[in-house]
Amino acid sequence: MTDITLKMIVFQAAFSFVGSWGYSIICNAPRRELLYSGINGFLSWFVYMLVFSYTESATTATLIATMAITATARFLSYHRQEPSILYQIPGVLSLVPGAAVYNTMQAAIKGNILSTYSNALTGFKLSGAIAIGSLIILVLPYKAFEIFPRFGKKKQNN
Amino acid sequence: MDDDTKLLNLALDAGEIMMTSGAETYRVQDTMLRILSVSGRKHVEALALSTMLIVSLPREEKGPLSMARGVSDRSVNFEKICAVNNMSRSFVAGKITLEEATQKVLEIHYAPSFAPWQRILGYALTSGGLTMVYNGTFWDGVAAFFIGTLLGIMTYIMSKRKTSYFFSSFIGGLLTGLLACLFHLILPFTQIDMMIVGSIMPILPGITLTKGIRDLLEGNFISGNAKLMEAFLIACAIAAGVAMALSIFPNF
Repeated sequence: MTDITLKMIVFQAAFSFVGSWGYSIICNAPRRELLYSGINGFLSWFVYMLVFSYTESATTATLIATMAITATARFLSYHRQEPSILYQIPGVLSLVPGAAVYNTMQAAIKGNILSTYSNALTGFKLSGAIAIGSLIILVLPYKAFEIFPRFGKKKQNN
Repeated sequence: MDDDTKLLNLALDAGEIMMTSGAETYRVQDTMLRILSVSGRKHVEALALSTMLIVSLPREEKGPLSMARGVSDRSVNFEKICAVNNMSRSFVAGKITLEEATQKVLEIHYAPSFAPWQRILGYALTSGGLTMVYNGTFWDGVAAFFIGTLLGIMTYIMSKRKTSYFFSSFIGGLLTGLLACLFHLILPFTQIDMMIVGSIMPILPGITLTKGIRDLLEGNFISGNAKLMEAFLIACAIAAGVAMALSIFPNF
């Protein structure tokens, strides 16, 4: 993958927006938060492809993209007064190693044991990168995300 | 019922809703502890294991009080997590009484969600969109959109009949594989692997896997291991379904 252009990155990231929007409908997110989940999905693939085009390493790209999303999710969580999981899960969706699961399964059908193991390990590595990336941001104190004054809705007391 | 029992019941109800809606383990424990802290007693305890909740309230004058509840059902519902979170905050802040909070939890339990056709559209958008993200062509995306629609309808029927999660994942994988092969037969220029990878995305347990690893790193070993096992079994079921479909069409 050498010919990664900015146009292509934005094009794919726009579809990541659509995918994350759809996934937050499946997860039954509140209607007013759908847009923000979609924006997080856009951001995840945008950062992933930017880092990937520099480092050519899917693991590094996944790690940094997850950190970016989790930071955005916590930021939105402070401003919109909702749990951060609401923005993080749809955002992280496009980084989930579905291709690794598929490749593992296909290698297993063809009887290629070495390829089966290496693909399964790739899947574990990528999901480990997602977990560690989100944990690095989650251990930061809550104050780190209060740098701007609040925007959007006020806290509901229902 | 005295007030302590009501309080424990409220904590268990709130915890059960959060647990079945897919909240993180630490958030469930945190919410239950916050609700229990209203009693003003020291050393209250709230535990959330993978399929059960335990709360206990040490009382010096009447003897300790402890309750447990099993949680079997699991899905993802962010609206309920937000609602319970808001309810527990205003309860702890003293804005609503215990009776009002109990009433509120009951309302949240029967809160409306998106209509079935909207959820099916969500499946279609996720499948189609992610196929395009993973470098699929336009026609791959269109095919994945249709596969996602059928997958959504299937998931809806399965959840109505309360099928076991393993079987519904297996059928989901089988359906995806068969439809992708059919699309490839009708439109030979579509790519099977692109369509399958994009279409299984909404049913893949990536979130469960990530949450499981995070639980392990946070020290919640029991729920972490349970989630890892669940994610592994679901992934195996989907892979078995797709594999069966691909072996029916051995030419690809």
